[in-house]
Amino acid sequence: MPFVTIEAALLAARAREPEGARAFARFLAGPEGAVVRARVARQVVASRTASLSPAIAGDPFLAAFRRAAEAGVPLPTHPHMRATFEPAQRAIRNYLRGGRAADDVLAEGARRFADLVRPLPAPRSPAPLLLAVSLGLLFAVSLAVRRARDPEFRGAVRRSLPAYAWVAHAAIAVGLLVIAPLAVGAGTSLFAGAPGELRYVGLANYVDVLTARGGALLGTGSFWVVLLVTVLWTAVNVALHLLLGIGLALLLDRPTLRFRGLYRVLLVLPWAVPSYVTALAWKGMFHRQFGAVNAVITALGGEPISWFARWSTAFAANVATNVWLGFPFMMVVTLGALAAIPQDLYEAAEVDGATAAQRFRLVTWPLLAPSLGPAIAMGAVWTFNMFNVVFLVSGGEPDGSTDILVSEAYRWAFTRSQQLGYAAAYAVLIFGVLTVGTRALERLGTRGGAR
Amino acid sequence: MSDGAAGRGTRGARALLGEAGVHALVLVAVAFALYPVLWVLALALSPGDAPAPRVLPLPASPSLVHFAAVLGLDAEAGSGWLFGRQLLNSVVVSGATAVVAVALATPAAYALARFEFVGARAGERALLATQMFPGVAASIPLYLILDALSLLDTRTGLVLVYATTAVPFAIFQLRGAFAAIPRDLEEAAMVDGATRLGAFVRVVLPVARPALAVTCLFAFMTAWNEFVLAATFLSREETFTLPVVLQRYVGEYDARWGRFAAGATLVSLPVMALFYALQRNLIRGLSAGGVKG
Repeated sequence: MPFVTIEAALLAARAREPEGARAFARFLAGPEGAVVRARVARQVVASRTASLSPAIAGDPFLAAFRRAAEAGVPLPTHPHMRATFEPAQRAIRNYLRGGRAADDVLAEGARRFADLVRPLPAPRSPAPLLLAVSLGLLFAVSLAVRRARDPEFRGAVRRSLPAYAWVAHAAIAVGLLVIAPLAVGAGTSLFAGAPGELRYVGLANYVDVLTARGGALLGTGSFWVVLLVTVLWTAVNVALHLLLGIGLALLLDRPTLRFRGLYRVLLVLPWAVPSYVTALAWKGMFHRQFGAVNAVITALGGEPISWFARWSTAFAANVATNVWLGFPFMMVVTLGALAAIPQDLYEAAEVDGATAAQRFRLVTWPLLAPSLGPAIAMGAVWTFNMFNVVFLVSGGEPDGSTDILVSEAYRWAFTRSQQLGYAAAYAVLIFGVLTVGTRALERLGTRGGAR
Repeated sequence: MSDGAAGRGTRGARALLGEAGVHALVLVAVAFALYPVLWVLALALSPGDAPAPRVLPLPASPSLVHFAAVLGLDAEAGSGWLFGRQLLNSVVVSGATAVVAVALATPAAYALARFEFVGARAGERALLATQMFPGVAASIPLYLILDALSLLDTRTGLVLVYATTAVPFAIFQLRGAFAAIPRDLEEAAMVDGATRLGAFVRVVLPVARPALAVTCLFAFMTAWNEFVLAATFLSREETFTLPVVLQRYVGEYDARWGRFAAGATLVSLPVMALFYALQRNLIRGLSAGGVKG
């Protein structure tokens, strides 16, 4: 792929002949210089006027390059180049979209650039960590010793020995494959630097994440804003999944309905499609020029929308994709739960003269709600971690504002100059949020059930 | 139609109207569910890379050029081998993941279903908790580990990465399956003089064969459909799995939607068929545990 580059000539401040040097620089940067370079050295030209000059217009090599450059996209090739390229591109895009002052946009770009190339946190002495770890180990060992002295426990362990022969290899494999990476991940969050030259920095990464690296706590890209977006994303999606899933299940759950088997098969279709295909397909459907959504809007007499130019529409596009992909799960779970409700309860209610609404409120809902609890928890965790949709549909556009926690962590790890320690701190915080969140959901569920 | 209904009285008319309303609502939902799939199919069958916007998902002048291009049957020499290689990568990685996961999980799942032992509950709970750690977030340590083992950009490395989710999933699935097998079966065999291992191999495993097959297929499907980790850990075209290939068609610097659609159709159809064949088992397994599915 050919590269389009920008040429520049630098002029020393104390040059002896500034006028002459300036004229020379102008010649070098201008079309005439480019033509000379192209004719003598066959160097490709970046300027359109120069490439049309009769001296070189006939050269097939240069002509081929010109055709390629017309379709070319500027592309960073090195991490350091990317560090300037990404913020600059975003700043330009934000400005061209209108509605924002150039200074404001540039300041934001500068802040992004500073984020990417910011100096590593100062190295810390690992002594406190070692002390804490050894104290923890000591405590664990003393607990183990005390338990090992307990004759009852020893008997239980002796009886367990045959079982250990069955689980030993799996325990080792899980330890190496599952537990070890998690431990390494948690450990990485205490380090900073590029892979291969990590150094211990204590809790500096966590402090940086939680204080938005000294910026505004509710500024763009701060952990707290991303957390807020993620919680909103999860709540909206799960609510819509439940609404659509339960609604359709109630419609389908009537034995007299014709084609209900066929309907069920067709409605489950989105679940069968691999989620990355779904995400890419919806990205295409929301394409400004040929997307189906804009085609429908224009057919109805509306103006086509640039879906990924504004937060609200980009978020809506993500939600539409995720609702499509997730409602069949809720529908199938609800259908299963409805089938488990004994039919004579309905008959008894009907004999007692209950209306349809009463039957739903007094029979269906109380028996349905508890069995939906685990499905809701599972759906919430899935949505919270739904990387594919966010990363592939909106890609965080506009400006990273639709990114959720997992996609933000991924960007820090793999696209923004590999700040692995910082990203690992993000990952540990995500785990914490999820653990606390599911506990709270569970407690809510049991309290609701007790009532 | 409404005349006939009115003749049977208001109650019958209301029932019929209600029935029609239900059908109408369900049909709207069906249209919503089918539209994107049909849109991708139409895109795959329409020649050209910048299709005209259309409301109805029907190809303008159907052609198979995109399928030919994806399979490497068109003029670009050599790319056919590349696609074959990438298909092989997907098959090998997914197959190896499934075999490794089920082989490791089977005895452990059996022990969890049958024996009471110290640490069983704690181990199970720990395993469930690790499933909450998002796969994408786990990619950071996995990247460092693969880098240290020089397994980045290899199929072996990817199998190891996929095993980190497939093994716990298989343990939960199979534990449920083994628990559903009546104990009398093995006990009868053991009364007849078989050892515990002998009874497991000769009596329990044959009975559990369907569950083993289903678990294998699910592990295969999950690996076949995985995108992010493959995209992160593979950087050479020869090691790409199919999801990475598809994403590259419509990535940041390319927009060959026709090829993407044709490729997506080819890659998704087999797993979608598999999904329909196995969905009841999947739903049962989901309620047994295993948050990631």
